[in-house]
Amino acid sequence: MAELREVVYIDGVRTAFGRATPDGYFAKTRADDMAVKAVREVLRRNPQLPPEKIDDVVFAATAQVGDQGLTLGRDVALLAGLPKSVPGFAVDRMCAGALTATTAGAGEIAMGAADFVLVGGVEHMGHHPMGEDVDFNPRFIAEQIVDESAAVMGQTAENLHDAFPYLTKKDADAYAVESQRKAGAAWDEGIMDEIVVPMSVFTDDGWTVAARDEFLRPETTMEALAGLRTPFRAGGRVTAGNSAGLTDGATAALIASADAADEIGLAPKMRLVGFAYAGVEPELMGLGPVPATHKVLERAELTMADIGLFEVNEPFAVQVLSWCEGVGIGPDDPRLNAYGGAIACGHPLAATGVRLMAQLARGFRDNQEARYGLTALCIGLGMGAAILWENLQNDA
Amino acid sequence: MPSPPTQFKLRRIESPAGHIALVTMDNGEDWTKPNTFGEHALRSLEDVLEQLGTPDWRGLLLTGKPFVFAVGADIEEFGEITPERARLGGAAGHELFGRIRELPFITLAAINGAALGGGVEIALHCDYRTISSSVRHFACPEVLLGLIPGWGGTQVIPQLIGAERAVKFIVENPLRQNRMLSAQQAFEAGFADELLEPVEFLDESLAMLIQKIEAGVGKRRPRADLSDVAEVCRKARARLDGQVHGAARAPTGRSI
Repeated sequence: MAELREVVYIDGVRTAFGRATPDGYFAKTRADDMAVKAVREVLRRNPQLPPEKIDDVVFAATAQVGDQGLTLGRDVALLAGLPKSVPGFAVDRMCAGALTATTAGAGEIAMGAADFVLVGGVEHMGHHPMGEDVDFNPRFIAEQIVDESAAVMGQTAENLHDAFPYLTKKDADAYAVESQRKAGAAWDEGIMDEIVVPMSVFTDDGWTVAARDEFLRPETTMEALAGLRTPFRAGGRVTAGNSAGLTDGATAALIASADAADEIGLAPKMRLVGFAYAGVEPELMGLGPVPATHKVLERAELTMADIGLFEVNEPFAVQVLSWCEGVGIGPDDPRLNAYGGAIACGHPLAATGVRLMAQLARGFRDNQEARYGLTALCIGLGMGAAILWENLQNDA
Repeated sequence: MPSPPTQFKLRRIESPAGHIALVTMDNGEDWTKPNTFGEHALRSLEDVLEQLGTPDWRGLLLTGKPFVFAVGADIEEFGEITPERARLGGAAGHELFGRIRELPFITLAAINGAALGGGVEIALHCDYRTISSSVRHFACPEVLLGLIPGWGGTQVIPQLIGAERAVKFIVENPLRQNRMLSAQQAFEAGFADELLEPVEFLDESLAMLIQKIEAGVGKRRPRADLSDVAEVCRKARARLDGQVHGAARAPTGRSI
């Protein structure tokens, strides 16, 4: 067997994230054009990379139809103006799409099949409402393979509150307020401007520029959140305020073999240490990152104490709270989501993974004492994903 | 069916260089019904110019809805036109386009799609121009219709690209099966400062405007050397008289 090669993360960017509503930023913008924007920005920021050296383009979308339907990796490569010799493909693991694109590309690099791979994800949830065009197999319910609630992500979040009755709505709201505050601070400090590429978008009111996340509400208070309705269950705990809204957004990143990056003078920001996917009960899909985290740490022979930074997706506040329970850290741990999370910026399903990676890479720069970091998220139908990274920005 | 009137839609963009006015010409239809300038459009432009009168603006970017810049005066209105209305329309265009020229901050037209007649003229009243390499229709076809580019075209075009090229563009091309310029040709003729790829055309045009504001580049009024204008027109008239034998009268009646 070929000797495995080191895989490094060079750089990653995203579009601003918009509301998936008819008056959202991207309502009249194509999903693949958003992905193209992110890809071109990655290349612009890394001019040392000759585009013909890109060996593959791996793009994720959950809804692989319409403007996300044409084998995205290849579609985006061609539309971005990459040489026609650069191939591409599409992947889907729902919310872990971009993470799966990354680990698929990393596999190619590790095996010596590729030196440079562009990875990313896009989800235009305005054009493709969740579950649209999906034909659920009736056996799921008839044979009780999954609980009915497993198909509705908000209901799985209510289920988490049931499973952990001591995680209250108040806890979830407090977490959400903090996420909004941290994200607002990150924007104020210019941190997000390094990750988010503005994009001009056509709207009914003419062209404008999507430069800032539309969901961002740094002034959110506990009082304001307390009065929101609970759409998934009468008297429930999950609200629009303590969960991520339906979002349009795209992300892209460049990963490479450590040697190939070194040869052309690209400075890697992180080294991929390992990754794990795990399955859980679909109606408790939010628990997925717990076994995925345990698995990747065990394989790397590390413990939670060794990890300096966590970037964990926040589809629902209770999902992060239950992850904290499962891995034994507090939700106010300063290592966790230092720049806020999806509750503040939104969660365009398959695109989110690279957002986590880009924020982790930025966090490593701010926290040179942090040696390892983890990107993790939960996945519909009861799964979790975790990638473990090592900080390469602490020797400079 | 007449197209709905084109509107000038103003959005305020925050940029490192301050507030940018991003103005889109849009009639709310897709590219098969291009933007045109009729009375409603001119009134809409007037509204936007009012809003641009406040002191906080640092620059203006003028562009069109996707795939179309603007294709000039609204031909639908011509049916009911009288000499008096023609004069008023001409004067209104002079006044409004003149106000664009006189805006106290720098202006850039991002020619993203078809630009014909008044569409070309409004772009030329801006200080700078970018053009998308995908543009295939850039022309002043008025002369083919027995008109002249009446919103300043006969003045600003020669001042920008010289008499020889201007006569070719305004007079000779329309009379040669209404020949139009591609983006590449328009750029080479001197109509645009930058020829940009379509993929990020507006983002790059905006970046160029911001960069010019930050660099302190001022407004611009090109003045080509027009000492040869009489000679160029005399030769062109002789050539055209030989071709059209008086069939197209508007262009050859008077020198520009």
